[in-house]
This record gives sequence, structure tokens and C-alpha cells, in this order.
Amino acid sequence: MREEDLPCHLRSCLESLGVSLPPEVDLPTALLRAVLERLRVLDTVPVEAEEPLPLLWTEAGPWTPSV
Amino acid sequence: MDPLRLTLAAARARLQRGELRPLDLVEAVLVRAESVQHKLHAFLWLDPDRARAEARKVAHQGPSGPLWGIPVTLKDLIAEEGAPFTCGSGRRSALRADRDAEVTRRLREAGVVFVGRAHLHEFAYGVTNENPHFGPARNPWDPERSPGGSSGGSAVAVATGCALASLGTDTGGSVRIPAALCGVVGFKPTYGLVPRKGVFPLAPSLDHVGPLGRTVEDVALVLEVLVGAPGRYTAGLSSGVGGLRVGVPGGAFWQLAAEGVLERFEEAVRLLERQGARRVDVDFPWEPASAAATAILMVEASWVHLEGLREDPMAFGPDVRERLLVGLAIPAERYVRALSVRRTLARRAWDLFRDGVDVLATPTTPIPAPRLGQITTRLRGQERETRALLTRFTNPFNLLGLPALSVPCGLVEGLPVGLQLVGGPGHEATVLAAGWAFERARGPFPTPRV
Repeated sequence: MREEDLPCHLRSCLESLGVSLPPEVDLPTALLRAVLERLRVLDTVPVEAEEPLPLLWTEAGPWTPSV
Repeated sequence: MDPLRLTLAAARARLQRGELRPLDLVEAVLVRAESVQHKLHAFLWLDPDRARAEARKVAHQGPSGPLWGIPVTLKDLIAEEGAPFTCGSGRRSALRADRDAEVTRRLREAGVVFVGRAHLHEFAYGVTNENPHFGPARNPWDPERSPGGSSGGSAVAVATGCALASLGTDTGGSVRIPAALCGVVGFKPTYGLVPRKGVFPLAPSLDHVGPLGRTVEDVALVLEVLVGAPGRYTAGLSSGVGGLRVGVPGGAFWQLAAEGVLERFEEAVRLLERQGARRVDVDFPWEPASAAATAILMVEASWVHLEGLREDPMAFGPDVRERLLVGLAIPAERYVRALSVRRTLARRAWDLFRDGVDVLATPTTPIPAPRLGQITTRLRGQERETRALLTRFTNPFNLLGLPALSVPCGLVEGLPVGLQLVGGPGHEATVLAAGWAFERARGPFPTPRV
């Protein structure tokens, strides 16, 4: 996402979900920018293509707590 | 009798032998609580008469459970019938819980006496316990500093003798961080081991309930009640660490913490080695694990609070509101990627604990308690966001759902820091035994002067 698109993206996400802020409140664009920047590191992990999404601990096996 | 000098285990033994009465113990705790409260604000609500009435009722029943007569406080996010249930939110300040959470019920059945409602960061969404609705809780080692959060009131109460144990919740480190910064023990068990029914969620796939206490044995005793398994963890506490493989992360890890914290950490690992543990150098993917935890936390928390945001976003404090709004704008692709990374890293962690190590050791936090209002912290020449720093070593284990313990391991510039010990899934007993061995070798930990 381009830097100049962040405010528009944030505003449209909030509007589409029915969240409205008073006009005097600034949109947290700087925090969104920082979070998205931080999440780039996720792309450095080679995720195995066949990995399904459900969590390991929802399956039977050693991940299942004993109680 | 000074409750600050009494562990839960010692009080329990004296109560069961009839050398101490529940009402006397609760009275001593209340004297501490009333004197500490105006300085440190450990509680959002403290009703001494209600606690005394509970103590009388428990005393009348006679020694009826494993924690009979023990004063315990709950984070005000865990429902306690008839008591306030604010979750640290101003808009909920008039609410009372109409029933106990499951963990509350189990503790009540075990005979505990509930004392007050422990302070927390608003909706548990933050690690400094600075709360715009109720004011901050303060660190007992320096009241100008944060006690950590979000279970800050729980840690302050235990550190100052206002309760002999507390329950907190931990979604990114919220039990372990305040435990470390206040000089007490905190434990987050394997995901799903302790029931969360009746506990207000933050991010359901990362949320854990866990105990704080003054010693490893104390948290083990509470955990046994929470899982309904007497003796499961205490029976093996003294099994020692001979031959235990302790994984110590290498590489970039050493650039992520303050020098004083790393010195205390190295001393702690050497102490474990002297008890017979074997150090194993390992790699751990801190940055992607922490980032995946952040993405999942932010998206899930925003989903939990969507109705509240629609109704009145201004009812949230500014820091929590900002994070909730940003969570609504994280692209779905990033969230799904975080879930895939979680799966991949969980499998790697499973391999690590199956083949390479028995426990992983890290500092609990990279820095000691920050000052209240300290947005950034200078670390190794770089200005970094304090909030992200504090969760750096803890939130990967919420992502992976692994049991993780924080034990005080020393002081840095007069402030306590913690050793974190992490085990494989379901290996609570191994982690607690390692923590107990370390604690014994370390010797008594100082208490704050309050």
C-alpha cells in the first residue's frame, strides 16, 4: 500500500464497518504505517504452501493440553 | 504478622495446622492493602467489609480446600459474582458481575478469600497499566515508574503483601511482564489449559489466564486448583535440573536487550548450569514471531470491540482507541499471512522442544520498569517504542501457546528484572521445576520498601 493511500484506506475501513469518529479526532495513520512496516518481516518466513491454517492445538496430538 | 514475609505455601501450612486463622490473615492483608492503595493504586475496588465477611464464612466452613483461607485478588477482567467488573473501562464503571468466571468458581471452591479487584490497563490492551479512566497503578520499587501490565495491579498487590496470590490474564505478556517489573513470579500455562469462561477477552486465540505469586511453589499451588489436579505440579518441583537442556537464543537476540538485563540473565543461566543444567545455543525467530503475534492481537481485539467502537469510539482511552482503529485497517492478507507464519513457527518450536531443548531461557523483558508516560526508550543508541520493547520476549509464546514462567533474577539500577523459562506444550511441570531450582539457588529475593 502506498504511503499516500493510508489515510484513505483507514477512513474507508472505518466507514465500511460503521465506525465514525468526531471530525476533531485525527486518524491514527502514523500507527497504521508503523504496524504495516513491522509486519513486513512476516514475508521473510518461508511458509510451506501445504500448511493449512487451523491452529495446531485444535487437533488431537501432543499439542492438545492434558486437561 | 506481616503478610509480606509470608508465602502462600507457608500461610497454607499454618492455616491447616490451626496456627493461623483466616480472619487474622485477611485482616493483616487488609491493613497492608489500605496503607499501600493510596500510594500505588493496586486495586480498582477494595471493600474490606466484604473481604472480612468472606473470611468469616470460609472460617465457619472449616479447612475445606487446598487454598482454604488464602487471600487472593483477581484482575478486574475476571468475573467475581457481585463485585465490579470494569475491565479497566470507564464506561463499565457501574457494572457488577452476575456470576463467577470458571476460574473464580474453582478458587472459591478451594477456599480462597477474595480481596479487592486488581487494577489493569484498559481492557488489558497495553503493558504499562496507565489507565486514563482510573489513573495508573504504580511500581512498588519506584512509584514514578510503571508496574508493567496489563495485570499491573495483580503484581503490585502480590509484591506488597496485599494478597498472597493473584490471577491475571496474558495475551502478549500481561502476567509475565508485570511480574518481572515488580519482582514477583508470574506464569502463563499452555494455551487452553486454564478455562477462560467468564474472563473478558482481548484476543481469543492468544488469551491465557495465569497466576502471580511470590514464589514458584505458590503459583504451582494456584495452578493446581485452576486445573483441578492436586499435586500435579508441586509433587515434582524439587526434581532438580540435572541434565536439563536449557536453550539460550543467540544471534541478534543480544542486541535486543539492555546490557544490565543481559548481565542478570547470563548470571541466571550460569546459576542453572551450576545446578546441573546444560546450556544449548539455539536460534529463535523473534522478529517474525513477535510481528505475527502483533497482527493477530490487533485484528482479534478490534473484532472483540467492534460494537463498542460503533457505539462510541470516544469512550475508549486514546492509546487503546488508536490501536483498535488500526486493527480494523490491517489488510486481510496480512492477517492470513500471520496465521500461516504462526503455524510454521509452531511446528519449528515443536521440533525444537522435541529434539533440542527442555526449556528455553530469555530475559522476560529487555528493560526494567520504564517511567510512567515514557513513550520511547533509548536502547543501544536507538530510540524504540517502549510498548513494543516490553512485549518483545513474551508475545512469541502467546503466539505459540507455550507455557512460560517469569522468576525474579536480579536488580538493574535498583529495579527488578525477570528470567523467563519456556517449555514445550503441556510441559508445565518441567518449567515450574526449573524455576523452582533457579529460585532455590538464587536465594531470597528482596522486597520493595513501601
